[in-house]
Amino acid sequence: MTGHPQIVALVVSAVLLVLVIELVRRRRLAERYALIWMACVVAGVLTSLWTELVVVAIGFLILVLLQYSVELSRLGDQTKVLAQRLALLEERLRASGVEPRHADEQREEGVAGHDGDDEPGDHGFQPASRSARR
Amino acid sequence: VERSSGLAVIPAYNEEATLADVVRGVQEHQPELDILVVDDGSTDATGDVGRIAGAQVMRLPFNLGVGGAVQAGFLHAVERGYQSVVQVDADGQHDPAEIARLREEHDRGEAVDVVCGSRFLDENRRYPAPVSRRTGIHLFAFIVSRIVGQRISDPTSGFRLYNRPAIELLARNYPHDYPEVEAVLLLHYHRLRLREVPVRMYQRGGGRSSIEGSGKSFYYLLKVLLAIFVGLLRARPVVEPGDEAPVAAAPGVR
Repeated sequence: MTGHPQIVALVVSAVLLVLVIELVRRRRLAERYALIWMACVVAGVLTSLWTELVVVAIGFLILVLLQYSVELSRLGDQTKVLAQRLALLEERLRASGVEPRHADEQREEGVAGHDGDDEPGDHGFQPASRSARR
Repeated sequence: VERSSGLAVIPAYNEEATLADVVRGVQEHQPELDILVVDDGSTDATGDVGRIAGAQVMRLPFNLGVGGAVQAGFLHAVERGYQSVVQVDADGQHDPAEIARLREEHDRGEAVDVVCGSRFLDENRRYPAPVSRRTGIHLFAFIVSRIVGQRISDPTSGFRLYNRPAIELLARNYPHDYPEVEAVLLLHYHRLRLREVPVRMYQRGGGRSSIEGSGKSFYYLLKVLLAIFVGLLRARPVVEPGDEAPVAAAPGVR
């Protein structure tokens, strides 16, 4: 098989195509990224036909990776804004006498086994007086 | 509720050892300032320490880095209508007694938007830090001074007083990981006036610096240099009031 790089490239492309379609089917991969990866499949097939194209294929992959860094930067910015807004809101709640109760604290309590006083409709916040007794 | 017009913002990440002294120092020397500790996702008791010491504590759900934490403080100040913000480090590096120097310089009557405490302006005092760090700071000082056309001796100082226009600008747009140097340029591009006053800076009292370790400081150096020079390449480096804001500059909670 090592003597037939074209066949290897074709097989890899086929596996990639199946994998991408399966991931989209399970809603694990958004369509816009699936399109990029299908373009990679096409690039892989072309590369298998004309081996000189391997440099082009590598360049294409680098562009895909750069695109991901751009997406990550955007997501990082959005996450930062969300974190800041959440902190502002919690500070406001606390200022108006409501003590935010964090999910991780709830989990720890659950593990410790004394989390039985949760009322229905407890949305993670409780009056400061109650949490002060904890 | 009657509010003071000034807010002390103390960004704190795992600073339980020193935070209480800093908060008490600000209360002692600037009793009319409200104090906001921005707990930047600490894993120790930083938030509780700040609250017990009598500060308001805003807790970020995870660590954003000092840039994101300070910006959260600016957002709070904008919403609550504070007219000035003093930024003080939680590690005891800055002396709360010297906030008075920043305020005096600001209140002197000359038009100035940001007063920055510099550890290099007083020739008689020496800043106790490794040569490598001082060299880095002086390199930034040289470059930044060239760009803004004014001597900036300590662009990495986080001991600063901002007035309302500066707060509004930085709440919209504040640099990411290591923000101080870039913030100087950002203020300059928006024609806000910055002045330095000499202050003492101490060695850290506890916790760990965000730029400790030689690998990390080298990364810091490269990252800030990149930010400076890419900033120069932007036709308009930042948004103006009224422009559509990018994601990073979205307004806070209304």
